[in-house]
Amino acid sequence: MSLTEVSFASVVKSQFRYKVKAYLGVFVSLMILQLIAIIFSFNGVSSFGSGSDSFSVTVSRYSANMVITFTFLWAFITAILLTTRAYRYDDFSFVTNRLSGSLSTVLFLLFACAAAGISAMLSSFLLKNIIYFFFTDITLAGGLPQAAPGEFIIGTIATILYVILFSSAGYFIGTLVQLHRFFAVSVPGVIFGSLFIGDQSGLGNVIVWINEFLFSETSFFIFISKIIIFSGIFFVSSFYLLNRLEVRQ
Amino acid sequence: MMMSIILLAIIAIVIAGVVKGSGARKQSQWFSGSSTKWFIAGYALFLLASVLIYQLIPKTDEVLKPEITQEEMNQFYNDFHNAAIKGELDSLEGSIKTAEWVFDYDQPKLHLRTKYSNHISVSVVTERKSTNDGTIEAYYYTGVSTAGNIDISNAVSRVDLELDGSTLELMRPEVVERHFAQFIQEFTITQFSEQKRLNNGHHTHIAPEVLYLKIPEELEIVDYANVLWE
Repeated sequence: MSLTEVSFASVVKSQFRYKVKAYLGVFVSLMILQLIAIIFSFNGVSSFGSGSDSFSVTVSRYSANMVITFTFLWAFITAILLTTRAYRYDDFSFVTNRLSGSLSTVLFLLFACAAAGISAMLSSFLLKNIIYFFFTDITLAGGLPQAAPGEFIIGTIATILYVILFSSAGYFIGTLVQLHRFFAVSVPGVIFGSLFIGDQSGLGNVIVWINEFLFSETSFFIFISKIIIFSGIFFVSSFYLLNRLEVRQ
Repeated sequence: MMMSIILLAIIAIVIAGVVKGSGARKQSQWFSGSSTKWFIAGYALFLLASVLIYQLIPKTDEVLKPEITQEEMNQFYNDFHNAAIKGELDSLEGSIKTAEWVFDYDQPKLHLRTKYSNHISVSVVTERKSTNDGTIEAYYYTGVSTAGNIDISNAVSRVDLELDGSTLELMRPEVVERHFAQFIQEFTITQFSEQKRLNNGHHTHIAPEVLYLKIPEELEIVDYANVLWE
């Protein structure tokens, strides 16, 4: 029996601090993947061309879209990784319960997602510098675009929110897998299966639905609301499910 | 679609491998605890330095116009050819006179052909002068060619002319190969801005070409093809 009373908030805070210091590997994988994505982006995120027997024109378009997409997948997989038993047991270094452990993990994920979103957007400058200084045989059309500060901030917030959504989905799926190994096979099966079946039947295509619901949303405030609602559902569901797990033996 | 799903799956597997390999903890199978902090700090500084360097690059005010639509291009083709037949290309908006030649010529017949026996799809319009002044005036007109919203007019090779005896030879000076780069905003920015349409175009429009010849009153042109009007 301890004579020291520790509040729930201070436990969460301590666990969050511990995770920020201990889980630096998360940021290393982020860094590696973003650098890989930047290298892949050297070919352009899209290109098209035209020609005849007398001329040939190729246009390559460059942006950090691939870095952002890789960051989404990183968030999804990292969140799954943090739900595994080895990482959940880290919480038992503290006087804790399942809720404080989950909450601190989610706070850490939010922190990591913010860092990932910002670095993904900043990587666009790195990519542009490389193309500008080293790909000198290419004619730069349209000059060097400079997003207005307001636009860049909105883009960065949107990127962070997308990353959070992907991490919340990963956290939820990781939690399901922790509940029962059956989900480790069934969830990817359902996701990829629906993509293939939806592609052939034209119905129920998850990618089309996500594209229309999220990526085509032009109102920033509605977009924020959608992300908060969906991420909230994923995280709260995960808290509920994790609470049902057996205590550590 | 199927290919993109498979590609996505492969990328996801690679990313999973990197995430698993790095691990979440400071000490992983790839990095020691002390080096991890330095790697992360170095990367952050690298990104911030990139922002600073990018701001120092002098920017030009080159503004790209929205992509020309197929309807607009079709309309321009019609207007261009109508103006060519009427001899009004100088006053047509969008028409550009990029070259002109004057040849001294006093023979009764002129042969017109391509120099290297290859096909050159340029329309030739001739206008007979009211006098036999002993000169052939040639004017080359075209318009703006675009790829997406990029002006590629300079990348499209022009027709050149050479007078060899009694033959006026058309040629393309060289095969032009150009690679353009265009920086576009990230989709998380364009999703909420008006720039989406500007970035999406990927159609190429090559402007029509007309070689306008002003020939002496009694000169006869032979062996030529693709003449619009005489």
